Amino acid sequence: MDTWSVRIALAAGIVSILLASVLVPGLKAASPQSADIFVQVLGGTTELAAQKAYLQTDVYLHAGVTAGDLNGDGQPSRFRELPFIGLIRRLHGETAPKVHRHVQGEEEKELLPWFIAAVRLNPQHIDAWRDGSYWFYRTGDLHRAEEFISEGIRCNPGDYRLYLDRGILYHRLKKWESSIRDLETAQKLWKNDSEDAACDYKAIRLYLDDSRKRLKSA
Amino acid sequence: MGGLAIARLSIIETMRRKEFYVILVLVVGLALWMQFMDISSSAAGRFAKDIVMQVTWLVSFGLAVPLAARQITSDVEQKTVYVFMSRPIHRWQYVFGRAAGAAAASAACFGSLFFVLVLMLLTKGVHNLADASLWQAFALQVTALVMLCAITVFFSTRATSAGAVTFSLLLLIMMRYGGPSILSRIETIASHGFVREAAWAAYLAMPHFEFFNISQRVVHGWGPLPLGLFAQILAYGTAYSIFVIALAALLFRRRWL
Repeated sequence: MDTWSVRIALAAGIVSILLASVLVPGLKAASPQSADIFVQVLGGTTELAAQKAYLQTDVYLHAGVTAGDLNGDGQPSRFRELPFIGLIRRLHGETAPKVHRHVQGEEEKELLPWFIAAVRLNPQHIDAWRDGSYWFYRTGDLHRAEEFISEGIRCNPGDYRLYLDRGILYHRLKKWESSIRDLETAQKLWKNDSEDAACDYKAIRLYLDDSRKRLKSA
Repeated sequence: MGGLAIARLSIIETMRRKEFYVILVLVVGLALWMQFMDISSSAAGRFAKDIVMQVTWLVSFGLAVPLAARQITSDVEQKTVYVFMSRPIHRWQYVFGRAAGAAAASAACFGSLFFVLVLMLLTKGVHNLADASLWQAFALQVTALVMLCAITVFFSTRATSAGAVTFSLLLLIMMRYGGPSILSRIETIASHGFVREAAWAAYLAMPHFEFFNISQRVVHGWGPLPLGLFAQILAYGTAYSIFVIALAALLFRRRWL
C-alpha cells in the first residue's frame, strides 16, 4: 500500500500540473516581483489557487453560501412525487444552509485573510489588491488599507486601477495632495482596455477635480 | 478468536504504522502556523477554523481509505488469511472484524486530529466549545468514516487494494462534493419514465456522504442541526454501513481463497 500511496500522490501532482498548464495561459514559474514561498513552490498553479482564495471572500461575505447555491434554491422539482425526495432536499438544505445573508460588523474582518492569501499566491491579482484595500478601510484598519494598496502598486506599478483606488482612499482620508498625485498618475496610465475603463476614467476625473477644489479651499 | 479480536488486531497494526504520526505532526504544524501567523488585523478565527477543519477532515478520509483497503487484501496476499480461517471463526466474523478494526482505527486517528483542532480553537478563543454544531460535526465525521471503511472493505473483498482505494475515493468525492448537483442533474438528463426511475434508484443507493458534511454550519456559525435530523443522519450512516458489511461478508463467503 505504501507504494500505492506514493503513486497516487505522484499522479495527483502530475494531474494538477497538467490542469494548471491547460487552464493558466502560459504556465509560468515564480514571479520575479515576489519571493513568496507559495509562488516559489507552486509555480503556475498559484494563479488558480489565488483565484479560488479570491472567490472565497464572496463565500465568506455570504456566511458560507455560494452564488450557485442560491441560484439552485427554490427550483420546482419534477421528482416531487418520487420517494424520499422531500427528505433528501431537506437534508441538503439543513446540512448546508442556502439562505442569503451578509456578514456584518466584526464578522467582516473574516474576509481579509482570503485577500491576503490571494495576493500572496498571485501578486498580479489586481482585483484582490483593490477589494482587499477597500475591506481593510471598511473594517476600520486605515493604516493597513493604505499599506495593502501601496504594496499592490509596488508589485504592479503600471496598473492605473491601483493608483485610482489609492487616490480614492487618500480622498476619503482627506490627504488631498497624495490623492491628487495618485489620481494624476492613474490618468496618465489609464488605458481603454476593459469594460470598466470608461467608468474608471470618469471616477478619476471626478475625484481629481474634487481633491483639487478641496485642497484650494483648505 | 472472534470478530472483535480481529478488530483489535487491526487497530494495533494501524497504530504501529508511521503514516498517522507523520500526518499528526503536519496537522499540529498547520494549527501552530494558523495560531501565530499574522493573517490580518482580525483574529481570523473562521479562516483558521475552516483551513484546519477541512485539512483534518480530508486527511482523516485519506488515512481511512488505504487503511481499510489493505485489511483483507494484504491478508490474502501474505496468506495470513489461512491462519485466521483455520480458527473456529466464520468468514463473516473475519470480514466484520476487519471492517470494524479499520473503522475504529480511522476514528481513533480522526479523534487525535480533532483534538488538535479543539486545542487550536480553545487557545485562539474563536469558537465556543459548548456549541453543539462542533460535536455534531465530529459525530457525523466518525459515522462517515465508518461508512467509508465499510465501502472500502466491501470493494476489497473482490478487487485489489488499489482498485478498492480508487472506487471508494471516487464514490466519496462524487457524493460528498457533487451530491446536490447530481440531484439537480438527474432532473435535466432523465426526463422519461424508466430512465428517471432508474437514475433515481441509483442515486438513492449511493452513499450520501454529503449529509455528513456540516462544516459550513460550524465555520460560519449557523448553529447545530435539529436533533431529529441529526439522529436520522446517524441512523442512515449506521444502517448503510451494516448493510454494506453484510454484503461484503456475503461476497467473501463465496470467494475461493
